[in-house]
Amino acid sequence: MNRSRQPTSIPKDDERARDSPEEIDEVRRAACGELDAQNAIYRRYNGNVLATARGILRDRDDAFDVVQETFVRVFRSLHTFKGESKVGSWILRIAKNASIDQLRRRRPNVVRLDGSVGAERDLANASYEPLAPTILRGNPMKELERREIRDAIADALADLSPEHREVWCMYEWENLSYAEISRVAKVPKGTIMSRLFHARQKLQKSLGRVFGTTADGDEHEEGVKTT
Amino acid sequence: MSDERLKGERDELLMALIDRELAPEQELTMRAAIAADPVLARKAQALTQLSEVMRAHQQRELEEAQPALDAIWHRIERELQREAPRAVVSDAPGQRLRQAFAYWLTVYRGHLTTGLVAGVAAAAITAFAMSGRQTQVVPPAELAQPALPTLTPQLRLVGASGVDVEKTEFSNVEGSVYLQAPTTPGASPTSVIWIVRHATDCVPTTVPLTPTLPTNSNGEPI
Repeated sequence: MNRSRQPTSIPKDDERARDSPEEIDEVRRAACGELDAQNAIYRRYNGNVLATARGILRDRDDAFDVVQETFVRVFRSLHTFKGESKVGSWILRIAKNASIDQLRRRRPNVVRLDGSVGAERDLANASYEPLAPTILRGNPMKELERREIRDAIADALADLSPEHREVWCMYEWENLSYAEISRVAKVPKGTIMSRLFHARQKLQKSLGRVFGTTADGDEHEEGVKTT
Repeated sequence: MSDERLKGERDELLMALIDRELAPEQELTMRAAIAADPVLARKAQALTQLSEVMRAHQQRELEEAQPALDAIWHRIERELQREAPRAVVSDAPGQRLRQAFAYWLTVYRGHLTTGLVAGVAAAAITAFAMSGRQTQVVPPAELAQPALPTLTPQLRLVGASGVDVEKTEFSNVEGSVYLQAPTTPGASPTSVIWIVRHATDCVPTTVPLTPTLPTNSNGEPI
């Protein structure tokens, strides 16, 4: 995945958070019902939609249902897309809503729709814990061949609070910068940095449990506990 | 500020460095800090590894899910096609066209505004230029060719070659002065000024002049 990000001292142009003219044209054609354009949009974003749905639902089959539901919603309402954000962000918001609807159907009395309470609790408990200087043991890339490892990682992602997961997804999958995420999520950039930081902290711990870690740096910094 | 908080903030800067989100001067500072602190260097390595593993996981999941996602596309396609005829029946005539136009208008509103402004400006410039040109157009009445004066046989052309005596050129006209000898003795000669515009029109003008011509000893014109 190529990442080309600019340092924060360079003013972020709003255009960076929007689609290219070619993508806008593709969206326009898809909105007019052109199947080729719809298929191109589907292929570009179906993976992120699947991962978003799986993160919320924790169930692979349900996540596939949400992928279908999401894209049917997308193509029904593409003519209302105003181009104020990237179409990918817009699609992921639809995926998130479709996942929540699915969750509500499945567990009507349990689901917490906004996740805000959990996020506030998470941030309150975070207390500036430093990152662990731990490297995953073995060969994690090879371990990814194993289904149970991948399920464990998917669970780790699902364990994040909705806010942390959303910021993680926008950064890692949509390639948005901190400033762009801030604009899309309508929260300060500092908050975005903090959420992304804590999302990584938690993932680091979760992956440490999955793969095991080498913690050569532990003796240099007190208070860092690896699991 | 507590030591723990300082470490937390330093770790956030480390994360921003890995994400290429730091300003150049901050980046230099952090790189120097990493070079001087093995723990920080190891944290940077761990962060990079985390991102790599998560991206590889996402890629692997996507590859495995591809057949299912292809099947889902066919279901989406069928659903969209099933909806399309119903939409045609239920929608008012031209609804789809209006929707497409509304979308186009939304996306290209800026282009449209720019085009309109440019069009109005071009029309204004053209109108201004046209009005300026009209002031230079010779009215048709002036363009009508008056009867050319007949150069009578008594015409006496002054000059060795018998051609015009004086010739004056301006930017777009050329004037020639002829002298017509008097038809009756004692009368003054008549000057004919022939003005030729370099365009297509030709407007001769006859102007009576008091002769101030060189004369011989008998007072006769040379």
